[in-house]
Amino acid sequence: MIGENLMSPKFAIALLAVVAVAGCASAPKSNAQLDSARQAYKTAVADAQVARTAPVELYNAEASLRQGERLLQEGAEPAQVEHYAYLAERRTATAVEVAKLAAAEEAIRNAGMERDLLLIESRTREADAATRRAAEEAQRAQAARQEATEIAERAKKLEAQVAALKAKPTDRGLVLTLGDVLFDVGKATLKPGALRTIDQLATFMREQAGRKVLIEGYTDSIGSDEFNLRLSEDRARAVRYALIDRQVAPDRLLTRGYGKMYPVATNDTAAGRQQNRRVEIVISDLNGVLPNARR
Amino acid sequence: MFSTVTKKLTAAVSIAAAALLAAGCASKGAPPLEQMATARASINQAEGARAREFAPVELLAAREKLAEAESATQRKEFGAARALAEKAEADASLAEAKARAVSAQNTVQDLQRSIATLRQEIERRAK
Repeated sequence: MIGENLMSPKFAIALLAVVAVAGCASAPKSNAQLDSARQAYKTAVADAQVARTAPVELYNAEASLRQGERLLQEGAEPAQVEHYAYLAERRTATAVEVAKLAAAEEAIRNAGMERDLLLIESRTREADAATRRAAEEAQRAQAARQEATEIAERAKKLEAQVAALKAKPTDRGLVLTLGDVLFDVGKATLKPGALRTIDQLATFMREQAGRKVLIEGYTDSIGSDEFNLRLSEDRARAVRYALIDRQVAPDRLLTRGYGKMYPVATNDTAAGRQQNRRVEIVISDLNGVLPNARR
Repeated sequence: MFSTVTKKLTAAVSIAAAALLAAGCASKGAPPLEQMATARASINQAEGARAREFAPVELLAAREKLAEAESATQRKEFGAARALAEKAEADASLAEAKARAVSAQNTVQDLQRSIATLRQEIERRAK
């Protein structure tokens, strides 16, 4: 028996028997876990994103898969085959995670750009809004300046008007005096010379819409009290009618006659008496407040 | 005659053993120090990528398998230990990759939230 060839059929059968007893029988040519791993791998490799971003991980997975398949074909124990099936499945899963990471990093880049653009837009809008507000501010300031200028001009004009009127400021207010020469002697009719003053006063009243006037007539002491009182009232009214003729509202024009009362000069001289024969026009403030009439 | 049978049996067993080895059924060899070191390094890397937070299951699996590999080594079951170490390394690599992916995805969400907020701000100010 010693001389027999070791590879004789008898020997081969014996060998097979030992191998079978050792438990390394030819395994079934399929393995569920390996199939599952193969399926997972095929899915992953078919995904363009995974194939593009995780080629190394896919290669490692495939190597494990091939190892498992080789062992399966060689009839290895299921445990052996499944070891490589496990490794293949884990490495495939790793490849998928690497692809997810790549996708997330790209999303981060895009989001970063989007946020930068939004920040720029936000700042641009803020800048525009600030510019607009500044322009509006400037406009308002300009308008305010203009208004101030206009007010100043109106005030100047008013001063000029008042000055033109030759009205004197007194403790009773602005007083415009129409002298005796502006009336016919002993009568209440206005001479042409008075009309210029009346016109100026009418213009003043039109432009100073809130003002009122108190027209007060005075005489000298010659003649009866009754006559003088009557004359002074008539003269005051004559001025009133002249202003009404010039479109000044009647309710803005009050009249009083004082006769010989409240002289401004002595009645002993002709000059003094002439001064006493007058009509005083007291001009109210801007709100139409007049001093009380004299007693 | 008996010695011849013994010799043949021995030869058969040797060949069978060789066949077993060739079939990959062997359980003997050296302790799988290299594989365990690799697994340990992968686990550390996964920790570094915050796998504890973002891939705890996979990380734990890796740790457990490595611990089992170490016990198997103690019991001189080197084949089993080696297989466990390889599995542990694969688990740890997956844990690391997953942790990085989850972390990046969280960043994406944060960015998208801040973009939405920014848009709302812009809309609000435009009124």
